[in-house]
Amino acid sequence: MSKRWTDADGVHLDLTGLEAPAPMLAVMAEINASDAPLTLHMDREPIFLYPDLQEMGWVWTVQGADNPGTGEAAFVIYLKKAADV
Amino acid sequence: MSEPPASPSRAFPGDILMGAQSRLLPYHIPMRFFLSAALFQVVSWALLMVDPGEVAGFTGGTGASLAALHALTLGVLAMTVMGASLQLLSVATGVAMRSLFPACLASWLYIPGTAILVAGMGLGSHPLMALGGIVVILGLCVWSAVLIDILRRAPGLRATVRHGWWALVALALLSAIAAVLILNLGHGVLPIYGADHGQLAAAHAILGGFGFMGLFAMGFSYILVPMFALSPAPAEGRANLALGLVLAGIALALAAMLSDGMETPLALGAALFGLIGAGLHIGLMLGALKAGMKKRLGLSFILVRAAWALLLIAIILGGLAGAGEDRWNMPTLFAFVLTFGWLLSFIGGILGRVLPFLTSMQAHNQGQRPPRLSDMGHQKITLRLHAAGHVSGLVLVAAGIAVDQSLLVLAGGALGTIGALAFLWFTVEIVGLNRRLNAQAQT
Repeated sequence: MSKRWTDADGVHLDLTGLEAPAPMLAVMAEINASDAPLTLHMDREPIFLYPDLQEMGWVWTVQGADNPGTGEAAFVIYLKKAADV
Repeated sequence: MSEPPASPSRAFPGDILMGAQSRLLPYHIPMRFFLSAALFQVVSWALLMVDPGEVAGFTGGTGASLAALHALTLGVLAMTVMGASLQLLSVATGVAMRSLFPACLASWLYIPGTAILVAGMGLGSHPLMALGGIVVILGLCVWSAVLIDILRRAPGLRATVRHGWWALVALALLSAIAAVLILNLGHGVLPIYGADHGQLAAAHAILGGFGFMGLFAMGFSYILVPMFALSPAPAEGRANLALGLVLAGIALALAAMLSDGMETPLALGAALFGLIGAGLHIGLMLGALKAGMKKRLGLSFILVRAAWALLLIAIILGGLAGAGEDRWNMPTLFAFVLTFGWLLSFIGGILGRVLPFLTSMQAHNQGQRPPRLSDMGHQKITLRLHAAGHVSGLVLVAAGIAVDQSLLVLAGGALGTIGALAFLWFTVEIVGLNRRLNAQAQT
Protein backbone atom coordinates (compact mmCIF):
# COMPACT_ATOMS: atom_id res chain seq x y z
CA MET A 1 0.00 0.00 0.00
CA SER A 2 1.44 3.38 -0.96
CA LYS A 3 1.70 6.25 1.51
CA ARG A 4 0.71 9.74 0.36
CA TRP A 5 1.32 13.06 2.08
CA THR A 6 1.56 16.72 1.17
CA ASP A 7 4.57 18.82 2.06
CA ALA A 8 5.62 22.39 1.28
CA ASP A 9 7.13 21.23 -2.02
CA GLY A 10 4.07 19.30 -3.15
CA VAL A 11 2.65 15.79 -2.95
CA HIS A 12 4.85 12.87 -1.88
CA LEU A 13 4.23 9.19 -2.63
CA ASP A 14 6.11 6.50 -0.74
CA LEU A 15 6.06 3.50 -3.05
CA THR A 16 8.68 1.38 -1.31
CA GLY A 17 7.86 -2.27 -0.86
CA LEU A 18 5.35 -2.38 -3.72
CA GLU A 19 5.61 -4.90 -6.53
CA ALA A 20 5.31 -3.90 -10.18
CA PRO A 21 3.07 -2.60 -11.65
CA ALA A 22 1.58 -1.09 -8.46
CA PRO A 23 4.09 1.83 -8.21
CA MET A 24 3.51 2.76 -11.84
CA LEU A 25 -0.26 2.73 -11.38
CA ALA A 26 -0.08 4.88 -8.26
CA VAL A 27 2.04 7.47 -10.07
CA MET A 28 -0.21 7.49 -13.12
CA ALA A 29 -3.32 7.90 -10.99
CA GLU A 30 -1.69 10.85 -9.22
CA ILE A 31 -0.52 12.68 -12.32
CA ASN A 32 -3.80 12.04 -14.11
CA ALA A 33 -5.55 13.79 -11.22
CA SER A 34 -3.24 16.77 -10.81
CA ASP A 35 -0.41 18.67 -12.47
CA ALA A 36 1.11 19.55 -9.08
CA PRO A 37 4.78 18.69 -8.47
CA LEU A 38 5.21 15.19 -7.16
CA THR A 39 8.00 13.50 -5.21
CA LEU A 40 8.32 9.72 -5.39
CA HIS A 41 10.15 7.56 -2.86
CA MET A 42 10.97 4.20 -4.42
CA ASP A 43 13.01 1.01 -4.03
CA ARG A 44 13.98 0.94 -7.68
CA GLU A 45 14.40 3.50 -10.39
CA PRO A 46 11.08 3.51 -12.29
CA ILE A 47 12.50 3.19 -15.79
CA PHE A 48 9.32 1.54 -17.11
CA LEU A 49 7.59 4.81 -16.30
CA TYR A 50 9.87 7.21 -18.17
CA PRO A 51 8.50 6.77 -21.72
CA ASP A 52 4.96 7.43 -20.50
CA LEU A 53 6.02 10.39 -18.36
CA GLN A 54 7.73 11.97 -21.35
CA GLU A 55 4.69 11.40 -23.56
CA MET A 56 2.55 13.13 -20.94
CA GLY A 57 4.82 16.18 -20.74
CA TRP A 58 6.47 15.60 -17.37
CA VAL A 59 10.12 16.18 -16.53
CA TRP A 60 12.01 14.68 -13.64
CA THR A 61 15.24 14.36 -11.77
CA VAL A 62 16.39 11.25 -9.95
CA GLN A 63 18.34 11.13 -6.73
CA GLY A 64 19.83 7.83 -5.61
CA ALA A 65 20.64 7.12 -1.98
CA ASP A 66 24.18 5.91 -1.38
CA ASN A 67 23.39 3.31 1.26
CA PRO A 68 19.65 3.12 1.91
CA GLY A 69 18.68 1.29 5.08
CA THR A 70 16.00 -1.38 5.27
CA GLY A 71 12.65 0.11 4.38
CA GLU A 72 14.23 3.35 3.16
CA ALA A 73 13.83 4.60 -0.38
CA ALA A 74 16.78 3.91 -2.67
CA PHE A 75 15.57 6.54 -5.13
CA VAL A 76 13.79 9.84 -4.81
CA ILE A 77 12.26 11.14 -8.04
CA TYR A 78 11.17 14.77 -8.39
CA LEU A 79 8.46 15.14 -11.00
CA LYS A 80 7.16 18.37 -12.50
CA LYS A 81 4.86 19.18 -15.37
CA ALA A 82 7.05 20.53 -18.18
CA ALA A 83 5.46 23.99 -18.18
CA ASP A 84 6.34 24.37 -14.48
CA VAL A 85 10.07 23.97 -15.04
CA MET B 1 11.56 17.63 3.58
CA SER B 2 14.76 18.30 1.69
CA GLU B 3 14.79 20.47 -1.38
CA PRO B 4 15.09 18.83 -4.77
CA PRO B 5 18.65 18.62 -6.03
CA ALA B 6 20.09 21.49 -8.03
CA SER B 7 19.03 21.65 -11.65
CA PRO B 8 21.07 19.27 -13.74
CA SER B 9 23.44 20.59 -16.34
CA ARG B 10 21.37 18.92 -19.05
CA ALA B 11 17.80 20.14 -18.76
CA PHE B 12 15.70 17.31 -20.10
CA PRO B 13 13.69 14.51 -18.57
CA GLY B 14 15.39 11.63 -16.96
CA ASP B 15 18.64 13.12 -15.79
CA ILE B 16 20.18 10.58 -13.48
CA LEU B 17 21.92 11.99 -10.46
CA MET B 18 24.07 10.60 -7.70
CA GLY B 19 24.88 7.24 -9.16
CA ALA B 20 21.37 6.01 -9.74
CA GLN B 21 21.58 2.46 -11.04
CA SER B 22 19.11 0.60 -13.18
CA ARG B 23 18.97 -2.94 -14.47
CA LEU B 24 19.05 -1.92 -18.11
CA LEU B 25 21.59 -3.82 -20.17
CA PRO B 26 23.66 -2.05 -22.82
CA TYR B 27 21.31 -1.58 -25.76
CA HIS B 28 23.35 -3.78 -28.08
CA ILE B 29 22.71 -6.94 -26.06
CA PRO B 30 18.92 -7.22 -26.37
CA MET B 31 18.93 -5.49 -29.76
CA ARG B 32 21.24 -8.08 -31.34
CA PHE B 33 18.61 -10.71 -30.56
CA PHE B 34 15.75 -8.55 -31.85
CA LEU B 35 17.57 -7.60 -35.06
CA SER B 36 18.45 -11.24 -35.70
CA ALA B 37 14.82 -12.19 -35.08
CA ALA B 38 13.66 -9.62 -37.64
CA LEU B 39 16.12 -11.03 -40.20
CA PHE B 40 15.07 -14.62 -39.57
CA GLN B 41 11.42 -13.61 -39.92
CA VAL B 42 12.15 -12.58 -43.51
CA VAL B 43 14.02 -15.85 -44.06
CA SER B 44 11.20 -17.98 -42.65
CA TRP B 45 8.48 -16.42 -44.84
CA ALA B 46 10.76 -16.43 -47.92
CA LEU B 47 11.60 -20.12 -47.45
CA LEU B 48 7.89 -20.94 -47.77
CA MET B 49 8.18 -19.80 -51.39
CA VAL B 50 11.10 -22.10 -52.25
CA ASP B 51 9.02 -25.25 -52.54
CA PRO B 52 5.39 -24.24 -51.96
CA GLY B 53 4.10 -27.57 -53.23
CA GLU B 54 5.90 -29.35 -50.40
CA VAL B 55 4.56 -27.03 -47.67
CA ALA B 56 0.96 -28.27 -47.71
CA GLY B 57 1.86 -31.90 -47.23
CA PHE B 58 4.86 -31.35 -45.01
CA THR B 59 5.20 -34.01 -42.34
CA GLY B 60 8.93 -33.87 -41.69
CA GLY B 61 12.24 -34.50 -43.38
CA THR B 62 14.87 -32.02 -44.51
CA GLY B 63 14.20 -29.33 -47.09
CA ALA B 64 12.89 -25.78 -47.37
CA SER B 65 9.80 -26.42 -45.22
CA LEU B 66 11.80 -27.74 -42.26
CA ALA B 67 14.22 -24.84 -42.66
CA ALA B 68 11.32 -22.33 -42.76
CA LEU B 69 9.81 -23.81 -39.61
CA HIS B 70 13.09 -23.61 -37.68
CA ALA B 71 14.03 -20.20 -39.06
CA LEU B 72 10.79 -19.17 -37.38
CA THR B 73 10.90 -21.18 -34.17
CA LEU B 74 14.60 -20.82 -33.39
CA GLY B 75 15.41 -17.73 -35.42
CA VAL B 76 12.42 -15.56 -34.51
CA LEU B 77 10.49 -16.96 -31.56
CA ALA B 78 13.23 -18.33 -29.31
CA MET B 79 15.56 -15.50 -30.38
CA THR B 80 13.01 -12.94 -29.22
CA VAL B 81 12.38 -14.80 -25.97
CA MET B 82 16.11 -14.71 -25.26
CA GLY B 83 16.50 -10.99 -25.89
CA ALA B 84 13.31 -10.08 -24.06
CA SER B 85 14.01 -12.27 -21.05
CA LEU B 86 17.54 -10.94 -20.54
CA GLN B 87 16.34 -7.34 -20.59
CA LEU B 88 12.80 -7.33 -19.26
CA LEU B 89 13.18 -9.85 -16.45
CA SER B 90 16.18 -7.99 -15.04
CA VAL B 91 14.31 -4.69 -15.11
CA ALA B 92 10.96 -6.02 -13.93
CA THR B 93 12.30 -8.16 -11.10
CA GLY B 94 15.07 -5.73 -10.13
CA VAL B 95 17.60 -8.58 -10.24
CA ALA B 96 20.85 -7.47 -11.85
CA MET B 97 22.82 -9.89 -13.99
CA ARG B 98 26.09 -10.83 -12.28
CA SER B 99 28.01 -10.42 -15.54
CA LEU B 100 27.21 -9.38 -19.09
CA PHE B 101 29.61 -11.91 -20.59
CA PRO B 102 27.25 -14.94 -20.47
CA ALA B 103 24.53 -12.95 -22.25
CA CYS B 104 27.02 -12.00 -24.98
CA LEU B 105 28.34 -15.56 -25.14
CA ALA B 106 24.81 -16.90 -25.57
CA SER B 107 24.31 -14.57 -28.55
CA TRP B 108 27.68 -15.48 -30.10
CA LEU B 109 26.74 -19.15 -29.97
CA TYR B 110 23.02 -19.04 -30.62
CA ILE B 111 22.74 -16.60 -33.54
CA PRO B 112 25.31 -18.19 -35.88
CA GLY B 113 24.31 -21.65 -34.63
CA THR B 114 20.73 -21.04 -35.74
CA ALA B 115 21.92 -19.85 -39.17
CA ILE B 116 24.04 -23.00 -39.58
CA LEU B 117 21.22 -25.28 -38.42
CA VAL B 118 18.65 -23.67 -40.73
CA ALA B 119 21.07 -23.85 -43.65
CA GLY B 120 21.74 -27.51 -42.87
CA MET B 121 18.02 -28.28 -42.78
CA GLY B 122 17.41 -26.45 -46.06
CA LEU B 123 20.33 -28.14 -47.81
CA GLY B 124 19.71 -31.53 -46.25
CA SER B 125 23.26 -31.55 -44.87
CA HIS B 126 23.53 -33.70 -41.77
CA PRO B 127 27.01 -32.40 -40.76
CA LEU B 128 25.70 -28.80 -40.86
CA MET B 129 22.59 -29.77 -38.90
CA ALA B 130 24.68 -31.56 -36.29
CA LEU B 131 27.11 -28.64 -35.99
CA GLY B 132 24.32 -26.06 -35.87
CA GLY B 133 22.32 -28.16 -33.42
CA ILE B 134 25.25 -28.51 -31.02
CA VAL B 135 26.06 -24.78 -31.13
CA VAL B 136 22.38 -23.82 -30.69
CA ILE B 137 22.02 -26.11 -27.68
CA LEU B 138 25.22 -24.68 -26.17
CA GLY B 139 23.86 -21.15 -26.66
CA LEU B 140 20.57 -22.14 -25.06
CA CYS B 141 22.43 -23.72 -22.12
CA VAL B 142 24.37 -20.51 -21.48
CA TRP B 143 21.21 -18.39 -21.74
CA SER B 144 19.32 -20.82 -19.49
CA ALA B 145 22.03 -20.51 -16.85
CA VAL B 146 21.66 -16.72 -16.88
CA LEU B 147 17.90 -16.98 -16.72
CA ILE B 148 17.94 -19.55 -13.92
CA ASP B 149 20.11 -17.18 -11.90
CA ILE B 150 17.61 -14.34 -12.42
CA LEU B 151 14.53 -16.50 -11.73
CA ARG B 152 16.11 -17.97 -8.61
CA ARG B 153 16.82 -14.53 -7.14
CA ALA B 154 13.61 -12.80 -8.31
CA PRO B 155 11.83 -11.43 -5.24
CA GLY B 156 8.41 -11.02 -6.84
CA LEU B 157 6.41 -11.45 -10.06
CA ARG B 158 5.73 -14.99 -8.98
CA ALA B 159 3.35 -15.88 -11.82
CA THR B 160 5.87 -14.85 -14.46
CA VAL B 161 8.72 -16.59 -12.65
CA ARG B 162 6.69 -19.80 -12.35
CA HIS B 163 5.95 -19.76 -16.09
CA GLY B 164 9.68 -19.23 -16.69
CA TRP B 165 10.63 -22.34 -14.71
CA TRP B 166 8.17 -24.55 -16.57
CA ALA B 167 9.23 -23.09 -19.91
CA LEU B 168 12.82 -24.03 -19.11
CA VAL B 169 11.74 -27.59 -18.27
CA ALA B 170 10.03 -27.77 -21.66
CA LEU B 171 13.16 -26.38 -23.31
CA ALA B 172 15.34 -29.06 -21.75
CA LEU B 173 13.01 -31.81 -22.95
CA LEU B 174 12.55 -30.44 -26.45
CA SER B 175 16.31 -29.89 -26.85
CA ALA B 176 17.01 -33.50 -25.88
CA ILE B 177 14.42 -34.71 -28.37
CA ALA B 178 15.84 -32.38 -31.05
CA ALA B 179 19.30 -33.89 -30.59
CA VAL B 180 17.84 -37.40 -31.04
CA LEU B 181 15.92 -36.31 -34.15
CA ILE B 182 19.04 -34.82 -35.76
CA LEU B 183 20.99 -37.96 -34.88
CA ASN B 184 18.27 -40.07 -36.44
CA LEU B 185 18.30 -38.09 -39.70
CA GLY B 186 21.99 -38.92 -40.11
CA HIS B 187 22.33 -42.32 -38.52
CA GLY B 188 18.85 -43.86 -38.25
CA VAL B 189 18.83 -44.48 -34.50
CA LEU B 190 15.04 -44.52 -34.11
CA PRO B 191 12.73 -46.05 -32.96
CA ILE B 192 13.76 -45.91 -29.29
CA TYR B 193 11.43 -47.56 -26.75
CA GLY B 194 8.78 -47.80 -29.45
CA ALA B 195 8.84 -44.08 -30.30
CA ASP B 196 9.53 -43.39 -33.97
CA HIS B 197 10.71 -40.21 -35.69
CA GLY B 198 7.19 -38.90 -36.35
CA GLN B 199 6.06 -39.38 -32.75
CA LEU B 200 9.14 -37.69 -31.33
CA ALA B 201 8.86 -34.85 -33.86
CA ALA B 202 5.26 -34.30 -32.75
CA ALA B 203 6.31 -34.29 -29.08
CA HIS B 204 9.11 -31.85 -29.97
CA ALA B 205 6.55 -29.57 -31.64
CA ILE B 206 4.18 -29.65 -28.65
CA LEU B 207 6.99 -28.93 -26.19
CA GLY B 208 8.29 -26.10 -28.36
CA GLY B 209 5.06 -24.43 -29.43
CA PHE B 210 2.93 -24.78 -26.30
CA GLY B 211 5.68 -25.53 -23.77
CA PHE B 212 8.81 -23.46 -24.14
CA MET B 213 7.54 -20.57 -26.28
CA GLY B 214 3.88 -20.68 -25.30
CA LEU B 215 4.63 -20.60 -21.57
CA PHE B 216 7.12 -17.75 -21.97
CA ALA B 217 4.56 -15.82 -24.02
CA MET B 218 1.98 -16.32 -21.25
CA GLY B 219 4.44 -15.47 -18.47
CA PHE B 220 5.78 -12.32 -20.09
CA SER B 221 2.23 -11.21 -20.80
CA TYR B 222 1.64 -10.86 -17.05
CA ILE B 223 4.33 -8.15 -17.04
CA LEU B 224 3.96 -6.58 -20.46
CA VAL B 225 0.22 -6.27 -20.89
CA PRO B 226 -0.39 -4.47 -17.54
CA MET B 227 2.66 -2.32 -18.23
CA PHE B 228 1.43 -1.17 -21.61
CA ALA B 229 -2.21 -0.86 -20.58
CA LEU B 230 -1.34 0.67 -17.18
CA SER B 231 -3.50 -1.78 -15.32
CA PRO B 232 -3.14 -3.89 -12.16
CA ALA B 233 -1.45 -7.27 -12.53
CA PRO B 234 -3.96 -10.11 -12.95
CA ALA B 235 -4.70 -12.20 -9.86
CA GLU B 236 -1.85 -14.61 -9.23
CA GLY B 237 -4.16 -17.48 -8.28
CA ARG B 238 -5.98 -17.33 -11.61
CA ALA B 239 -2.69 -17.08 -13.49
CA ASN B 240 -1.50 -20.19 -11.65
CA LEU B 241 -4.74 -22.00 -12.46
CA ALA B 242 -4.35 -21.14 -16.15
CA LEU B 243 -0.76 -22.40 -16.02
CA GLY B 244 -1.80 -25.65 -14.35
CA LEU B 245 -4.50 -26.29 -16.94
CA VAL B 246 -2.14 -25.59 -19.83
CA LEU B 247 0.51 -27.86 -18.31
CA ALA B 248 -2.08 -30.62 -17.96
CA GLY B 249 -3.00 -30.08 -21.60
CA ILE B 250 0.64 -30.34 -22.67
CA ALA B 251 1.13 -33.51 -20.62
CA LEU B 252 -1.94 -35.11 -22.19
CA ALA B 253 -0.84 -34.03 -25.67
CA LEU B 254 2.57 -35.62 -25.14
CA ALA B 255 0.88 -38.80 -23.92
CA ALA B 256 -1.31 -38.77 -27.04
CA MET B 257 1.71 -38.34 -29.31
CA LEU B 258 3.57 -41.24 -27.71
CA SER B 259 0.67 -43.60 -27.00
CA ASP B 260 -0.44 -46.52 -29.11
CA GLY B 261 -4.20 -46.82 -29.30
CA MET B 262 -5.31 -44.03 -26.95
CA GLU B 263 -4.48 -41.10 -29.24
CA THR B 264 -8.01 -39.81 -29.77
CA PRO B 265 -9.26 -39.50 -26.17
CA LEU B 266 -5.89 -38.19 -24.98
CA ALA B 267 -5.66 -35.60 -27.77
CA LEU B 268 -9.23 -34.41 -27.20
CA GLY B 269 -8.59 -34.23 -23.45
CA ALA B 270 -5.42 -32.24 -24.10
CA ALA B 271 -7.33 -29.83 -26.29
CA LEU B 272 -10.03 -29.43 -23.64
CA PHE B 273 -7.56 -28.63 -20.86
CA GLY B 274 -5.58 -26.39 -23.20
CA LEU B 275 -8.67 -24.49 -24.31
CA ILE B 276 -9.83 -23.87 -20.74
CA GLY B 277 -6.35 -22.83 -19.59
CA ALA B 278 -5.67 -20.60 -22.59
CA GLY B 279 -9.19 -19.17 -22.36
CA LEU B 280 -8.61 -18.29 -18.71
CA HIS B 281 -5.28 -16.66 -19.57
CA ILE B 282 -6.83 -14.68 -22.41
CA GLY B 283 -9.68 -13.65 -20.13
CA LEU B 284 -7.14 -12.30 -17.61
CA MET B 285 -5.37 -10.37 -20.37
CA LEU B 286 -8.60 -8.91 -21.73
CA GLY B 287 -9.54 -7.93 -18.18
CA ALA B 288 -6.20 -6.14 -17.79
CA LEU B 289 -6.76 -4.28 -21.05
CA LYS B 290 -10.27 -3.31 -20.01
CA ALA B 291 -9.12 -2.06 -16.61
CA GLY B 292 -6.12 -0.20 -18.01
CA MET B 293 -5.74 3.56 -17.95
CA LYS B 294 -4.53 3.41 -21.55
CA LYS B 295 -7.30 2.36 -23.88
CA ARG B 296 -5.77 3.03 -27.26
CA LEU B 297 -2.87 0.66 -27.68
CA GLY B 298 -2.64 0.87 -31.45
CA LEU B 299 -2.09 -1.61 -34.21
CA SER B 300 0.30 -3.71 -32.14
CA PHE B 301 -2.44 -4.81 -29.78
CA ILE B 302 -4.79 -5.60 -32.65
CA LEU B 303 -2.16 -8.14 -33.69
CA VAL B 304 -1.90 -9.38 -30.10
CA ARG B 305 -5.67 -9.84 -29.90
CA ALA B 306 -5.60 -11.71 -33.21
CA ALA B 307 -2.81 -13.87 -31.80
CA TRP B 308 -4.94 -14.83 -28.80
CA ALA B 309 -7.75 -15.91 -31.14
CA LEU B 310 -5.23 -17.91 -33.16
CA LEU B 311 -4.01 -19.62 -29.97
CA LEU B 312 -7.49 -20.99 -29.37
CA ILE B 313 -7.80 -22.04 -33.02
CA ALA B 314 -4.37 -23.74 -32.86
CA ILE B 315 -5.44 -25.76 -29.81
CA ILE B 316 -8.62 -26.92 -31.58
CA LEU B 317 -6.68 -27.84 -34.72
CA GLY B 318 -4.08 -29.63 -32.59
CA GLY B 319 -6.79 -31.65 -30.87
CA LEU B 320 -8.28 -32.64 -34.21
CA ALA B 321 -4.87 -33.51 -35.67
CA GLY B 322 -3.99 -35.57 -32.59
CA ALA B 323 -7.30 -37.38 -32.85
CA GLY B 324 -6.40 -38.53 -36.35
CA GLU B 325 -8.25 -35.97 -38.48
CA ASP B 326 -6.24 -35.71 -41.67
CA ARG B 327 -8.53 -33.71 -43.94
CA TRP B 328 -7.27 -30.22 -44.89
CA ASN B 329 -3.71 -31.41 -44.16
CA MET B 330 -4.64 -30.99 -40.51
CA PRO B 331 -1.25 -31.72 -38.87
CA THR B 332 0.52 -29.21 -41.12
CA LEU B 333 -2.28 -26.67 -40.78
CA PHE B 334 -2.06 -27.01 -36.98
CA ALA B 335 1.72 -26.50 -37.00
CA PHE B 336 1.38 -23.44 -39.24
CA VAL B 337 -1.38 -21.79 -37.17
CA LEU B 338 0.52 -22.53 -33.94
CA THR B 339 3.83 -21.05 -35.08
CA PHE B 340 3.21 -18.45 -37.79
CA GLY B 341 -0.27 -17.72 -36.42
CA TRP B 342 -0.36 -17.55 -32.62
CA LEU B 343 3.31 -17.16 -31.72
CA LEU B 344 4.58 -14.99 -34.58
CA SER B 345 1.54 -12.67 -34.46
CA PHE B 346 1.95 -12.27 -30.70
CA ILE B 347 5.66 -11.55 -30.92
CA GLY B 348 5.19 -9.14 -33.84
CA GLY B 349 2.56 -7.21 -31.92
CA ILE B 350 4.52 -7.10 -28.66
CA LEU B 351 7.82 -6.17 -30.32
CA GLY B 352 6.09 -3.34 -32.14
CA ARG B 353 5.59 -1.73 -28.72
CA VAL B 354 8.56 -3.11 -26.80
CA LEU B 355 11.26 -1.86 -29.18
CA PRO B 356 10.32 1.85 -29.00
CA PHE B 357 9.72 1.49 -25.26
CA LEU B 358 13.14 -0.05 -24.64
CA THR B 359 14.75 2.63 -26.80
CA SER B 360 13.08 5.33 -24.75
CA MET B 361 14.17 3.71 -21.47
CA GLN B 362 17.74 3.38 -22.72
CA ALA B 363 17.83 7.01 -23.76
CA HIS B 364 16.44 8.26 -20.45
CA ASN B 365 18.86 6.04 -18.59
CA GLN B 366 21.73 7.77 -20.40
CA GLY B 367 20.34 11.25 -19.89
CA GLN B 368 19.20 11.60 -23.49
CA ARG B 369 15.85 12.86 -24.68
CA PRO B 370 14.44 10.33 -27.17
CA PRO B 371 11.79 10.98 -29.81
CA ARG B 372 8.17 10.23 -28.89
CA LEU B 373 7.40 6.51 -28.89
CA SER B 374 5.06 6.82 -31.85
CA ASP B 375 7.68 8.71 -33.87
CA MET B 376 10.24 5.91 -33.78
CA GLY B 377 10.82 3.54 -36.68
CA HIS B 378 8.42 5.12 -39.22
CA GLN B 379 5.65 3.11 -37.58
CA LYS B 380 2.88 4.51 -39.74
CA ILE B 381 4.48 2.82 -42.72
CA THR B 382 6.52 -0.06 -41.32
CA LEU B 383 4.14 -1.51 -38.75
CA ARG B 384 1.07 -1.05 -40.94
CA LEU B 385 2.80 -2.76 -43.85
CA HIS B 386 3.98 -5.50 -41.53
CA ALA B 387 0.50 -6.13 -40.13
CA ALA B 388 -1.09 -6.15 -43.60
CA GLY B 389 1.56 -8.47 -45.05
CA HIS B 390 1.56 -10.74 -42.02
CA VAL B 391 -2.21 -11.19 -41.79
CA SER B 392 -2.76 -11.65 -45.52
CA GLY B 393 0.21 -14.03 -45.66
CA LEU B 394 -1.26 -16.06 -42.81
CA VAL B 395 -4.67 -16.34 -44.44
CA LEU B 396 -3.32 -17.33 -47.85
CA VAL B 397 -0.76 -19.88 -46.63
CA ALA B 398 -3.31 -21.44 -44.24
CA ALA B 399 -5.81 -21.66 -47.09
CA GLY B 400 -3.12 -23.08 -49.38
CA ILE B 401 -2.29 -25.80 -46.86
CA ALA B 402 -5.97 -26.61 -46.24
CA VAL B 403 -6.90 -26.98 -49.92
CA ASP B 404 -3.47 -28.17 -51.07
CA GLN B 405 -2.86 -25.27 -53.45
CA SER B 406 0.79 -24.36 -53.87
CA LEU B 407 -0.11 -21.11 -55.65
CA LEU B 408 -1.85 -19.85 -52.50
CA VAL B 409 1.17 -20.84 -50.40
CA LEU B 410 3.43 -19.01 -52.85
CA ALA B 411 1.30 -15.85 -52.76
CA GLY B 412 1.01 -15.99 -48.97
CA GLY B 413 4.76 -16.49 -48.63
CA ALA B 414 5.35 -13.44 -50.83
CA LEU B 415 2.98 -11.23 -48.82
CA GLY B 416 4.39 -12.49 -45.55
CA THR B 417 7.89 -11.72 -46.79
CA ILE B 418 6.87 -8.16 -47.64
CA GLY B 419 5.43 -7.77 -44.15
CA ALA B 420 8.58 -9.23 -42.60
CA LEU B 421 10.76 -6.87 -44.65
CA ALA B 422 8.72 -3.94 -43.32
CA PHE B 423 9.29 -5.20 -39.77
CA LEU B 424 13.01 -5.52 -40.51
CA TRP B 425 13.00 -1.91 -41.68
CA PHE B 426 11.30 -0.88 -38.43
CA THR B 427 13.85 -2.83 -36.36
CA VAL B 428 16.84 -1.44 -38.27
CA GLU B 429 15.51 2.09 -37.67
CA ILE B 430 15.13 1.37 -33.95
CA VAL B 431 18.63 -0.11 -33.67
CA GLY B 432 20.04 2.88 -35.56
CA LEU B 433 18.28 5.26 -33.19
CA ASN B 434 19.73 3.39 -30.20
CA ARG B 435 23.20 3.71 -31.70
CA ARG B 436 22.81 7.45 -32.28
CA LEU B 437 21.44 8.09 -28.80
CA ASN B 438 24.21 5.99 -27.27
CA ALA B 439 26.86 7.83 -29.30
CA GLN B 440 25.44 11.19 -28.18
CA ALA B 441 25.50 10.05 -24.57
CA GLN B 442 29.17 9.05 -24.90
CA THR B 443 30.11 12.50 -26.17
